[in-house]
Amino acid sequence: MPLGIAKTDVELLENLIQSSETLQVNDAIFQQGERFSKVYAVKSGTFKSSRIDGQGNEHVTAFHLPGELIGLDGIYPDTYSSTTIALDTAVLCSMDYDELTQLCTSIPALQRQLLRLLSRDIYESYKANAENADHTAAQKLASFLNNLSTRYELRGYSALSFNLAMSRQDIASHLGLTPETVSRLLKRFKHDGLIDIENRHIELKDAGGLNALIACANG
Amino acid sequence: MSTPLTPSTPPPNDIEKDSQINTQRHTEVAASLNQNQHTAALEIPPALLQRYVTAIPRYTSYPTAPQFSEQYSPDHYRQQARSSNETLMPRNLSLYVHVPFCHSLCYFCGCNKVITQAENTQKGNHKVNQYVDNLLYEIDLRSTLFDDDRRLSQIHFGGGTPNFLNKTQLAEIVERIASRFHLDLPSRLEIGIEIDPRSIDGNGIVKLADIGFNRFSIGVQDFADNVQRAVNRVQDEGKTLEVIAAASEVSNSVNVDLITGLPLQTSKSFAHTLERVVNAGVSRIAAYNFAYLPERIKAQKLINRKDIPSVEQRMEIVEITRTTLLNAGYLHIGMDHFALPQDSLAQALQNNTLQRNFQGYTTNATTDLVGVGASAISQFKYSFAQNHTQLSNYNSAIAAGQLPIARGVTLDNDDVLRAHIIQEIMCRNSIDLQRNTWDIVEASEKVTLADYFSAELTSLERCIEDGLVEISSNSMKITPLGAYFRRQMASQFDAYLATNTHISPSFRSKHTNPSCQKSENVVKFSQAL
Repeated sequence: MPLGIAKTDVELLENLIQSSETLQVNDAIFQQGERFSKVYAVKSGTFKSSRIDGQGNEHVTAFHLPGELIGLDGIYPDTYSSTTIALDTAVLCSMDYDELTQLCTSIPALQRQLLRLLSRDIYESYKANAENADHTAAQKLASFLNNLSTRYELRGYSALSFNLAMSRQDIASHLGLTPETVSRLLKRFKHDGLIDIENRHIELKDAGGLNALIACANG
Repeated sequence: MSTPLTPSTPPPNDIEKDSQINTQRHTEVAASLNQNQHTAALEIPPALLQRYVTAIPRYTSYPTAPQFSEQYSPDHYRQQARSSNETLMPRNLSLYVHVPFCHSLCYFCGCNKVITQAENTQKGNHKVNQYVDNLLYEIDLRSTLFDDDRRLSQIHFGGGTPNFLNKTQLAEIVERIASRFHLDLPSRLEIGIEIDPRSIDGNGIVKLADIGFNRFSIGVQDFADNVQRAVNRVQDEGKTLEVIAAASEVSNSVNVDLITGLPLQTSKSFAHTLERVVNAGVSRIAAYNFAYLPERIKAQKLINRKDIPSVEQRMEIVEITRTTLLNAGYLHIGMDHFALPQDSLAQALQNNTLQRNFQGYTTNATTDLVGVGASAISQFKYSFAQNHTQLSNYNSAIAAGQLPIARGVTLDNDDVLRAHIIQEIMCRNSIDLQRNTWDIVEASEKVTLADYFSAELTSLERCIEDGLVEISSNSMKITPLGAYFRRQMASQFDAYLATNTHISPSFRSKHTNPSCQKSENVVKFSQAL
C-alpha cells in the first residue's frame, strides 16, 4: 500500500474487500447499463470491457490487467458503461463504492490515490484520442503493445515478455483495425525483429524500435 | 521395430494405425535426415529390436484416435474453428479429401474404403456422382467457417483410391476448393494425390498435372507376383514403372509406398522390388510394416496365415530395406520413411521444420487441417474431429445440410504439451527442453519442458543405456540409432497408455484443475490502489 497509510487504516481497507472470486473464461463481472455499486480489482487474469452500439456492434473499450481497477467509469453515470468479461481464468475482488468514499474522508492519502487513478484514466483517454486520430495502423498496434508493457512493468511484471489473453478480433476492435490487419502487422513486427511471438506469448525484442515506429509519421 | 512384428494381440491403440491413420497416411513420405547420419548402414542389434517389439501408436495424432468420443458434435467443431480464427496469427490451412472407392479389395488394407464394381465411366456412376456432389457441398460448408486470411497451402487426396474418380470429377473438386478457399502462392501450394497405378497410365498422370496436382504418391507394395496374388493386388511391374516415370516427369516430389512383411515375401524378392524403385529415382520411399491383425481387419482373414513371414524373416526384410535405401543415398527420416537429401522433406528435417499430421510427415509449417469426405479427420491445435466413416451416414448428414462430424476430442493444455513433445520426438533429432510451457499453450504455468516432463524423461533411462537418446537439462538428442525407435520413446509421454505408470494419475485420469495454476500472478487488493 503506497503513501504511508497507517497500519490500522490498511486493516480498515482490507475489511472492505469482499472475498475474492474466481471467474472462468467469458464470465461477466457486470453488464452494460447495470446500476453502479462496486469497484473491482483484478488479482490475476485479464478482463475485457466492451460496449454495444446502436447498431448492435461490439466495441472493445479497454483491457484490464492484474493489479488494475475496474468500474470507475460508472461513478458519473451511476451505471456501468460497458460489459466486462474475463478472457481467461481470473481472480477478482470487489469493494463497495459508498464504503470506499466514506473511508476516503478518514484517510486523505487514500482519497488522493483514488483521484490520481481517476485522473490517470482521463489523461490516458485524452492522449489516446489525440494520437489515434492520425496514427497509422502499425503505430496504433505498436503503441498498444507499448502501453501493455508499461502497465505490466508498473505492476512488477516483466515489461518485455508477457501473454496476450485477447483475441485478434478484440485487439482489432479496440484499435479500430480489421483482425486481418492485426495479424499481418504482428507478422511484420516479428519479421522486422521488433517482437517475437509464439502462440499468445509476446516478447518485445526491440522496444526502442517500437518507440521509434510510434514516433515516426510514416510508420 | 514398429507395429506388430508379432501377430499377438496389440493394445487398442493399434487400431489407430490400422483403420484411422492409413486412411490419410500419404505424404507420409518423409525424411528423418540425421545431421550426423552416415550413408553407411547402422547396425541395429537384434536384441534391441526384440526389446522394442511392442504395439505402439504411430502418433500421427495425440491423443490417438481411440480417445475420440461421440459426445463431440458439429457445434464443438464450429466453436474450434471460430477460436482458430481468433488467435493472434491464425495458422494456414491444409485440406484432406477422402475418396473411399476402390475397384477391388487389397487383403492387407485397413483403410476406410468401399469396393465398387460398377464402372465409373465418363459420366460417372450414381453412387460416385452422389459422393462427389456431397464433397462439393461439404467444401462449401467448411469454407464458411474460416476467415478470409486463412490461406490454404496444402491439398491432399487420399483413399481408398482417389484416381477412381475421373478427371472431370477431380477437376471439379479442385476448382471448388480454389473458389471457396484462399489459395497460397502457386510456388507454395502443394496438391497431392495417392495413385493406384493399376487404373491410370502415363497420359492420365499428365492430365492430373494439368488439373494442378504436383505431388504423387504411388502404391507399389511389392513387385513379386506371388506376393501380389496373395494380397489380391496384381499390378504389372512395367506399367507401374511407366506411371512412376510419368509422375517424375511432371513433379519433383514422387513417393512410393512399399510394405514389408507381406505374405510370401522374402528378403530376396523384396530386394528386387527395392532395386526397381531406387532405380526409378523416386525422391521419397515409405516402407510400412505390415500389421497382420485378422481379428480386427476383416480383409486380412483372406490371407493365409501360414504365408506370413516369421518374425526373423520380417526383421531381415526390414533390415534389407534399411541398408539398401541408405546405401542408395536415401536418408532416414524416422520410422519407416526415407528420402533423398535434396527432397524437401529431408531439407525440412535438417531445418527443423518437419511436421507430422494425419497425412504423415509433411514440410508444411503447422497448419490447421480440414478433412472432407467419409472418415476424414480434421485437426486444430486444441481439437481433432472425424467425419462419419460409413458412406450412408456421411451421405445422410450432408443431405440434412449438416457438418458430417461423428466424433472427436478436445485437448486441454496438458494434452497440447504432450502432443508437442511427441511431435518433436517424431520429427526432430534435437529437442529443446528449456522451452517454456507458455510458449506452447495459453495461460499456463511458466515451467520448462525439462521440469514439466521430469518423470517421463526419467523413464527413458533404458533408452539412454541402449544408445537411442542423450538427455541433458537443455535438450534431448535422438541418435541415428534412436531414429528407428521414435515411437517407443514418444509413447513414454502418452498419458492415455495405462502402462505409463510414471505419469501422475491426475493426468492419466485426465483433466487438470485450472485453479492450481498462476498463483504467482495474484496481487492483493491493497496493492491495486
